[in-house]
Amino acid sequence: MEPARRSHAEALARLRQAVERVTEHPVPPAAVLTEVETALHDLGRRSATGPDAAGTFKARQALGAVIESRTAPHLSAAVIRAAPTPGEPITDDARSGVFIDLCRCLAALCAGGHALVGRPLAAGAVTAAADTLAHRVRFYQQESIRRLEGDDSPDLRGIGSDLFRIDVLSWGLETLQAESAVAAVRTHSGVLARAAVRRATSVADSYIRHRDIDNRFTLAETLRDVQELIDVARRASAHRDSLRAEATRAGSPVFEDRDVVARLLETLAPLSRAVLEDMRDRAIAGALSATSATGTLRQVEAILTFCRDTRHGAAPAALHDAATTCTRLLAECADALARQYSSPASGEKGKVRLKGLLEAMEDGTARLQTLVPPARAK
Amino acid sequence: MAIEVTNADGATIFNLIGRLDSNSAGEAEQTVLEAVNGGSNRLVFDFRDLDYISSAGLRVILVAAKRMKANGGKLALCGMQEHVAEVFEMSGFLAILTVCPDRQAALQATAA
Repeated sequence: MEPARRSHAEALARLRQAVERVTEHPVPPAAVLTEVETALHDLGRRSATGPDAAGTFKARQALGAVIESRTAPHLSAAVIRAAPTPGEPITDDARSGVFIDLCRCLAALCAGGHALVGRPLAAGAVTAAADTLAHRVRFYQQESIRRLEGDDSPDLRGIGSDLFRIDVLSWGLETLQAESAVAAVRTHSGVLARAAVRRATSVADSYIRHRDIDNRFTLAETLRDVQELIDVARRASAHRDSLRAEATRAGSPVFEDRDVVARLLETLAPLSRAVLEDMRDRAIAGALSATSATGTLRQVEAILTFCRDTRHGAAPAALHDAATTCTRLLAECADALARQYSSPASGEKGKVRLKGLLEAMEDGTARLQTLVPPARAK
Repeated sequence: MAIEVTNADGATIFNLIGRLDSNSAGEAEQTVLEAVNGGSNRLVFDFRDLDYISSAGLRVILVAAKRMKANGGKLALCGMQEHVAEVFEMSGFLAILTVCPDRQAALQATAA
């Protein structure tokens, strides 16, 4: 056998061996996937330069058939098994760390068909994986939006995590070059983010209207997850920006849907006022404990953190309005507490309680001040 | 939040200390991208001193992971406290990342 021909035949044999190893594992490990990609690359390089490629025609056709009928469908199934599905428990396969490697290997086998049979292979396997993943995201988005329309507090932590799972899936779909699935999945993600922001706004609105126990609890749950809310809001803004950019590029009417993040930001100064008025009223009624004051100030801290970190054009003004409201109401609250507990009638117990409350408020106020930029010199 | 950046066995190690959240993520991303743009293609994130990671922090890791895949580099995480590991599991990142118990194992994983 001539050296060049032997090299080509050897590269083909190596690819066949690597491809056979793929089907030995439900989710092939990274080393096997790397071997397939390396062998494919090697074969592509040799067949491009080897005039003897015709000598291995039958072997290449046979290997192409194996890839199309067994390897690619197996890899497609492995991609689906290893993908982190939003809204579902994470399986051992989805902890494998090889999701992107699987996508890349499947895409490489598909594209590498040129070196074997002169045409892309296994496009159906890529489509099957992409369609399944996109379908899962669509289903999850619809279910999540249905849940957000209920009365429960929005599960921002869960939604935040699941939006990252969608990011991971989207990266996999990009690797598979499944462009329409990528676009669909990104749209589902953006629509869900906007729905979550709308739900957070409705939680704030409800509390502002009725400061009852249910609304107080729902608000506390929502503000507890402020870091997730910030991320979701940034995603919602990014989605809106991308829709507007797309409309401009396509020359179609610019997307003029309500800016959901601006709407939430508008709510935050009135929300800060309502939260602190609630605290002031409880102070006046003698029903405010140091623990409760600390909890309330944590909520205000979450509101100001949202304003500071959400990177929206309307955020600095919202931060200023909320901070101004806080300064005024905290002073009113301290006055109310002083009146409540510093009279001789409240006795030593009252003085101790006042001290504890004022310490809690000072701690909280100090934390709030770190969130507000210093006033600009005039 | 503080980030200590060191080099060992040809890898860049980021020791994250405190909270990686929406306030500190920008600086963290800049630090990581400086290393990547400077040619680092083996990254180890040591989380033993990390108390909290938010979505913004996860995004920093995702950006780094994408850059490593694109560059043919390797990335590993190590030293996660249980509640931080749970965040990574929930976010689906374990489908794409190598997580090791300690720094030595992470260095080996990025060398392989």
